[in-house]
Amino acid sequence: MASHAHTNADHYYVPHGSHWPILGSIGLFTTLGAAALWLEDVSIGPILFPIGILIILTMMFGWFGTVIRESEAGAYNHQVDRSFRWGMTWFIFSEVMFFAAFFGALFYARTFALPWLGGEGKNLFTNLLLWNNFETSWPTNGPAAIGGAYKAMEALGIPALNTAILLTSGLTVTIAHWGLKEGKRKQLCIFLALTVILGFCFVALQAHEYHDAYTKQNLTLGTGIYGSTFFMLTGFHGLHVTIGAIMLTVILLRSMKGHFTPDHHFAFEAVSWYWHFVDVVWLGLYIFVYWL
Amino acid sequence: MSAATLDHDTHGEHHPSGIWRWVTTTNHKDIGTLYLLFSLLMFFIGGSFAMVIRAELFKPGMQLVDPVMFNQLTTMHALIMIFGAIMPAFVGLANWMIPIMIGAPDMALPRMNNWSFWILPFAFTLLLGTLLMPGGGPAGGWTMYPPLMLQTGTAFPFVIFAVHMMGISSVMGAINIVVTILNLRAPKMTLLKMPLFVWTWFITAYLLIAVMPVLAGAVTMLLTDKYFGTSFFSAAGGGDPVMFQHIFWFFGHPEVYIMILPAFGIVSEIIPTFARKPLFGYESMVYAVASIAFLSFIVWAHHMFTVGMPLAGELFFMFTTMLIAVPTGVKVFNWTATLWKGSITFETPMLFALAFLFLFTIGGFSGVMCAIVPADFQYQDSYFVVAHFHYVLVTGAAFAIMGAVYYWLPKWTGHMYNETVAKWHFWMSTIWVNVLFFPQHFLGLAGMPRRIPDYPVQFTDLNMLSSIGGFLFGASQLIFLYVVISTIRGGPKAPAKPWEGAKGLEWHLPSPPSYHSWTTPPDAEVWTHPYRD
Amino acid sequence: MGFKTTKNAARAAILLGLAFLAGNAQAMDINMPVGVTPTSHEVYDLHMMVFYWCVGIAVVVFGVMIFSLVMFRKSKGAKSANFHDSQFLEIAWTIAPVIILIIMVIPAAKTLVRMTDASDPDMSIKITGYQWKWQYDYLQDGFSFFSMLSASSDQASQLHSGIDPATVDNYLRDVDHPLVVPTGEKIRLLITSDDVIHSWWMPDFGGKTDANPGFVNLTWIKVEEPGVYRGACAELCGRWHGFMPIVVVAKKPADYLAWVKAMKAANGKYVSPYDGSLEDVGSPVVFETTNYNSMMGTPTGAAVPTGSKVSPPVAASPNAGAVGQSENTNPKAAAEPAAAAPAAATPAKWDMATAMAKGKQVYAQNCASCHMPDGTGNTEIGAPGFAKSAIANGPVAAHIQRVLKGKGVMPAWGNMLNDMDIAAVITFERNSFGNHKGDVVKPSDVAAAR
Ligand code: HEA
Ligand code: HEA
Ligand code: CUA
Ligand SMILES: [Cu+2]
Repeated sequence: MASHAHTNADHYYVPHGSHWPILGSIGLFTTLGAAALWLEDVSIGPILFPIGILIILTMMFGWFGTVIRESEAGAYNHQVDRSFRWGMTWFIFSEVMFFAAFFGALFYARTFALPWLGGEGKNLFTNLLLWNNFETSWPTNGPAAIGGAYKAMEALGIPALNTAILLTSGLTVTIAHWGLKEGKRKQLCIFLALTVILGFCFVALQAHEYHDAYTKQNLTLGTGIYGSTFFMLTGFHGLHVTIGAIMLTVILLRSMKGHFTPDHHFAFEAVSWYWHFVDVVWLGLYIFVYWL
Repeated sequence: MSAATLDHDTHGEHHPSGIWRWVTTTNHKDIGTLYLLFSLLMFFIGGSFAMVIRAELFKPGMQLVDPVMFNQLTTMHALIMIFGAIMPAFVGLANWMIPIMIGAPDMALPRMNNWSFWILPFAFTLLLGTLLMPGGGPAGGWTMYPPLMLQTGTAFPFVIFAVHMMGISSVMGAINIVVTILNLRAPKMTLLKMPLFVWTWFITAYLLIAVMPVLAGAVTMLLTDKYFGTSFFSAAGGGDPVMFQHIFWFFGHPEVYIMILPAFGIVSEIIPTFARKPLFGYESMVYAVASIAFLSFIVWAHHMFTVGMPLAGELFFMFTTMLIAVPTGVKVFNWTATLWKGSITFETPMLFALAFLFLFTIGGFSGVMCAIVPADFQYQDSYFVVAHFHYVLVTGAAFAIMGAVYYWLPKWTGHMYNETVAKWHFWMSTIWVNVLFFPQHFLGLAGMPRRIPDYPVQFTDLNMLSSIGGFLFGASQLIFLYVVISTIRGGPKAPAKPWEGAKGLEWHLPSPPSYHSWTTPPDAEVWTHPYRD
Repeated sequence: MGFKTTKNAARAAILLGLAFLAGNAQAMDINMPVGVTPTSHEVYDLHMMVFYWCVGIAVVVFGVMIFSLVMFRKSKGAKSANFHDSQFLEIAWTIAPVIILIIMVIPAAKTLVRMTDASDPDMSIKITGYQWKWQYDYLQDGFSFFSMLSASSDQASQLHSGIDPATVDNYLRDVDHPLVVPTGEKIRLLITSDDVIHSWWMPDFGGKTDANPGFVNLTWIKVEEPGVYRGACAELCGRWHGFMPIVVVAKKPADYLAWVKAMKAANGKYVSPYDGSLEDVGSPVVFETTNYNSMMGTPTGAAVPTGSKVSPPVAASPNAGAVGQSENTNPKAAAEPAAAAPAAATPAKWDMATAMAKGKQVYAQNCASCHMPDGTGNTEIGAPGFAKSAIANGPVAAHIQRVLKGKGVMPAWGNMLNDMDIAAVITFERNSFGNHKGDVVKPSDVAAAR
């Protein structure tokens, strides 16, 4: 299909019928449906779930594969490139808003809900009649001490290390970009590889941190509002880091195969933007979840 | 901006035929059509639920459905109408018209465009499927407040994931629209020369990208609270059920403007055409829409005046909410000024636009009444609110969509619709919709709460009146169905420009346009400023 | 085109209608009630004020529209002008609404400030919402009782009951135990919920306040005239949301005090505010152990202004901080609502007979609505029947857990019923509807399982 495509500065490439999207829908439907069945412990849930995931992965390989082939065949002019850039930009913005919801929950709980439970403002009787042995504090698992005694996270140690790791990875990916722009393939590949390694280190360390939380600190998703916000925020972030790292790996492989030119490498930039986004979110997490 | 002409592989023009064409299509017109037909179907499904609701409320006592089934119908009715009927209808119009109106070959990201649509049928299968599950579908209202929502049975996770899928679909659709508008406009079409329909959708798309993910986050927290022991919405763990309401309405209020801004755009296209006079105050119209969009982010808690917010919060949200009346007023006044000294004719699209002008404004007034906090302590969760939002949603959003369909149907199908039958549809709808919803104001004021399947006898008369209006309004929509289908299947040939006073690029293409809209971008001479001479 | 004239007619009709209603609304009972509290009067005035402004604006705006539609018709040979901008107009019609809105918002803000100030009450009543009843808690006088839909309305409102609601007096607006309040006193309502969100709406008192689980909302009323006032729950709270009305009987202070005295004397029974008769219905009057006179305000008016944090009776838990509340904080102790607090005097001997008798009653009160009086359940809403059900015939521990914690549509009764009630109803379920497990569940078992 893409083989027909020919470069033409002022032709906007409009692909023809594609069967990847419908496959994607089927995959999404299967995965989420299966997840729902699983949650309601219906036995086929766990069986269908991986199948759904598999379908989605197939879709991604196929879809991105097609796009890469078209791109390499030079079907995309600068205007198409610009579409991709805008698209990625606004996608990242939507991701930011997704995290905003959870940060919002954290702020609301800390600045409103907890003080009220402690009897602030017009909530004297909330404290008196319902939770009369509760004093506002942070971190906390609430007036009913949901999840029992636990040990909160420290800002130093692993989180600090992870911060350093992510920031460095942000730097390395930028250096890789310079390399790409100046046509220094070697620099590109080396620093990209470094970034990938750093990325996976971060994930590994976080996994270790979670393991300790569950086994040593009795800190779980069920540890009241603190556990809830902590694991949902860092969890979704960790998920994004993982995805980002995988995308970086793909880009690395493509770079090694000689894809991308100094002036035409949207995929690379998209991934690096995504990586920086993940980076920034982490800073927010480090400050508001671990530190303050 | 560089010209955007079409490039497609050589065996381009003959696309796969039959169902497979529709499943795999990347063509903005095909996808637009799919969206529109899908939303029509959903409108009828959501509407038939409403018919059952009205039938149960026809007289006091429980006649038809069990209370839980009633709550399911109310919840489903809203979810289907909002996410299945109104929003997809607007996206469908955007898909069909935006590329044509700005001189683009297609949407900017055609494959993703296909995916945005094809997620929807699956999402709604998931949602409607819950009605057949043990314990039935969701019955917590479309607002899904915990803890009640957490009592949902087997349906719960399916509903949550259905909402996630709708969110993904809307966000992708919105991104596509933003990118198309930013990147594919004809040369020399500066932002402030765009048709208002494009403008309103441009801003709506931003609202979607900003709030849909927040809804996703909110329902995700519901999911973890139910299945993974988190305490976001439970005081015992340090959370707060009211927190959900804040997050939900941070999405929810912009959402209601998502359902009205494109309608503003449509009305701004139709009125100048049939008043044969340029739209009055184009710039201020654009700025008004922008300020409405901005304000919509800082008014959300007006849905929560009775939850016991601190006084400062109540005051803040009362002020900001009332402010929205100002830019909206500016729009109403500009439309009126467009009519002034025009040369007006009353084809069906114009009739719907005019009905919108009157009835949306009435809905707006009741909205401002709701914004008065002390008064809202009475209105809140009463039928007064139900009346308010149906005036803005049905005679607002839905009427605008119907107007748009009549306005552009000749362009889409190449046939003229039957004006007489269409006018019947209009008059039946307009009369009965008022019989349906106007009495609900009084019911609310007299003390009838929302979301109840049965009521004290003193509310009987007005409910009967409302139900009768409802049935007849519903029946009138069958006329709409007839007009649309018959026009698709045939009818007198439509010229490229069926409306004398029409301006704008879409009328420079034949009716129906060729499979690919602007294979070469129209040069500045072809079109003039849509609202100037 | 004759359409437009019809249209104008329709418009005119609506406007006339509006104006007309504004006048006769009261008589026709289609307008907001003026009500019987200072707040309700102010709210009514605000409502009418905004309404008239809107009608006024409508007359002007719609007037201009209709005028143009009449005058500038092509059929009447109107030629279209071509003007399309006016700085002046744009500014004018931006300013005008702003001014109107300011005129509206000032009195609104004033009223709001007044109605949110619940300090210095003469007395306080705690109101707790349950699925699907209200609990009224006279904190100073130390008694509380439940208030739910009257039996007659309940029967008539069953699906296909065949009973004509018109024959039931106060259909869906009548309860077994009305709330009784004195007139002329500032009564502070402490509103909360024990399960989902409810909303206490009394139109005649000028509004509603949400009952949020885990939080106590404040509002206040000052009823001016003695009488019986009727309202309803206004927040969707599940299956019987439309069926949890509110009835308030306002009595002159002397009569009120007499009623309170009678209540205290009637040990456990409810004294009807209408005829003083004693009623021994399902949910008995429970006597509070705690007493907050110091904070609830008393006729001698010793009240703390809300907002000032007075040290709570129980010393604050010592170990708050990085390690959170530790196990020695008993969640239940805090969560226990008034109803369950005192283990409601368990009868001296707890045998099958007592348990079954009590259980039958509790079942009818709470479970029958979903599981059906004959225990056959209702699959439509996911409420299983009991006949050879796995739970009712399985290990008793699981049964207790299910009743305490609930699952899906099954509410968690742990906070709504006391140990005795739960023990009784479980015993009942295991030995009725064709089940013969023969085991008697003891309140202590339930307490242990909590
Ligand atoms: C298309 C959707 C739509 C639109 C456009 C609006 C528009 C507005 N809405 Fe509405 N609203 C809903 C959909 C919408 N709403 C829905 C669905 C709900 C219920 C949700 C639920 O609970 O299920 C709701 C509920 C709702 C509430 C909560 C009620 C309650 O539950 O207690 C409030 C309270 O302030 C409110 C206010 C407003 C206001 C001030 C506007 C303003 O934007 C209106 C502005 C327009 C005008 C005012 C008319 C034209 C202006 C003039 C002619 C100028 C002069 C006028 C004046 C100076 C007054 N709305
Ligand atoms: C865009 C959104 C939208 C639209 C278009 C509608 C359209 C209608 N709504 Fe909608 N409604 C909502 C959004 C909408 N509603 C929302 C958000 C709620 C709040 C839910 C909640 O509380 O959570 C609500 C709640 C709501 C209630 C309150 C329920 C309750 O509180 O318990 C009622 C009651 O009258 C009602 C009625 C109607 C009717 C009669 C229509 C009519 O306009 C429908 C007309 C269409 C048809 C009838 C379908 C087409 C015709 C046929 C199928 C042919 C067969 C019919 C006949 C022959 C009679 N709606
Ligand atoms: Cu309680 Cu509705
Ligand atoms: Cu709103």
